Amino acid sequence: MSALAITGMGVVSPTGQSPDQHWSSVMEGRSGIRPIGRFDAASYPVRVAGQVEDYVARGSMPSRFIRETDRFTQMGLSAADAALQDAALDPAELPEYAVAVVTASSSGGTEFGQKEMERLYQHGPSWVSPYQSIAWFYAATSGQISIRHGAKGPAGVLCAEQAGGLDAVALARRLVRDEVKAAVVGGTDASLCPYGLTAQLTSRRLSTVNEPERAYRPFDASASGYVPGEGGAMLIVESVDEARRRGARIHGTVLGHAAGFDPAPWTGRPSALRRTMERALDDAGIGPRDVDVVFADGMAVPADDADEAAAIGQVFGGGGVAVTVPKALTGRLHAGGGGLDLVTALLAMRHGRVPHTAATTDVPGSYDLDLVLDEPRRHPIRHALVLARGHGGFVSAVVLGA
Amino acid sequence: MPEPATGVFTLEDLRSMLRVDDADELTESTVDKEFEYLGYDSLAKYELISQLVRRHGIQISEETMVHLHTPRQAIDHINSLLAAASDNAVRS
Repeated sequence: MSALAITGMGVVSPTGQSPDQHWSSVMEGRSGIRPIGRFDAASYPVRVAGQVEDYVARGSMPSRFIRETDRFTQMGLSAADAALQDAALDPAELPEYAVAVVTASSSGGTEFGQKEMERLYQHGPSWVSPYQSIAWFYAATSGQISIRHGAKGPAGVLCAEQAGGLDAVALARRLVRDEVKAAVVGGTDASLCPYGLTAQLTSRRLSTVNEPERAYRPFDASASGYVPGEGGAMLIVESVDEARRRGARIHGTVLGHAAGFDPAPWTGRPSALRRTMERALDDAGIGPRDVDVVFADGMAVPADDADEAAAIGQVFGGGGVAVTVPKALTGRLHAGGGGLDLVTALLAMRHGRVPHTAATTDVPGSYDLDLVLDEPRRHPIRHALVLARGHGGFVSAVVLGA
Repeated sequence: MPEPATGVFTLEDLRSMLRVDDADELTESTVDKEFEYLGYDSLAKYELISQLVRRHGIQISEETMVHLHTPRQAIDHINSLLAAASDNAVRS
C-alpha cells in the first residue's frame, strides 16, 4: 500500500488546544489531570480526570452546531477545523465526493444525553430536545464534520474504545487508496459527566487515587489504574503523491497498521499485542531495529502493564527500544487517545525528542523496559510504533515514518 | 429590507425556541428565506412544535408545519393560533 501522508493536525487536549501547546506541555511534563470540575464528584470513587478546562465551542462555530451536538462532537469539530486549516485544505474546493470523514467514538454524546434524560424525568417527553436523536450517536462527529465542511465522501465511525482512534486511521488509509483524495480522521471523547463516569467505572480499571500527580502512573510499581480524560485529535491524510502535488507540508507518513483482539482472559492464551505489533511492522515493511520509539498503551493496571511490557520485550528484545506513555499527562482519552498519540509521535519525530512518561518514577525490573523517565530524550526518530488497547480486548498498532 | 414580522409572537421568540444564539443568524433580513436554506431541518421544526405546546399550549400538526416554509409564515401562523386561543379564553 502506498504511504499515506499526514498533512494536518488539530488538537483539543487537557495538555493544550493546538499541537504546539500540547507539545510544550509534553516536553515540560505539564499535566492536564486535575480534580473533576465539571460536576461535584465527591461521592464518586474516581475524583480526578484529564480535562480541557478552558475549552469553549461558542464563537468558533455557528450556534446550530452547538445546540445540535454533545461536547465530544464540538471538540471533534474544533480539532477538524484546525487540522483542515493546518493542511490548507478546503473540501468545498475539491470534487464533491473527494473527502472522507472517519472518526472514532467510545462513549457517544453522554453529557447531552444525560441532560435530556433529566428533562424527560423531571418534566416530560415534550421537554426533550429532538437533537437528542442525533447528538448521542457515535457517528455524530463524522456527520457534523461532513456537514460543516461539505465533505461528502464516505463517512463512518469506529467504536473500539481506545483502539478506535488508530483503527480509524487504517480505514482512512484504505479509503485514500481506493476512492478519495483526502480524509479527515481521528477521534474525540468527552464523557466526564455523572452518567459517563459511572459507565466507565464498570471497567474496574480506573484509578481511585485522588492526588492528580499520583493517580495515573503507567508501568510504575505503584500503578493503580488509569485516569479518564476528555478531548482528542484530528488529522488530515492524503496520498504522498497528492500532498506533494499540492505542495502540502507532510508531518509524517502512516506506513503500517494491524489490529487484533485479545483472547478471553480465562483461556490463559497470550494477548494479541505481540502479533499485532509484528503484523504492523510487516505491513510497514520494516523490522524491529528500524523502530526508534514505542508509544505504549500504558493502562497502569499491573497485569496489563506486565502483559504489554512482555509483548514489547518479545518483539524488540528486553530494553531493546525506547518506550514512552505521554498520555500520563492527559489520562486516557478513549477514542481520542489514538489520534493524540499519533500527533505526539509526529511532533517527537519533528523535534528528535522522545517524550518522557512524566508521572512514572519506579519501573519494576521484571518489566525489562526502557521507559523514558524524568526528561525527554534527545534521539533522532525514523519510525515510531503507536499502540492502543481498547476495553474488551481491542488491540491496534500504527507505524509512522518521517 | 423586508417588513418586520409583527404580532404577539415575535422573531425573538422564534429565535429563542430554535435556540439561536448568533446575532447574524435568523434576523429580520432572512425572515422570508426558507427554513431549509437557513439550515433548519425537520428536527428544528419538531423542536419548535414541542416548545409551542410547552410554553403556549398551542398545537401545530406536523402536516401544517411542513407547509410553513419560512420563519415569517411560522410566526404569522403561530400568532393566528394565539389570537384564536385568546378569543376562546375571553368567550369562555
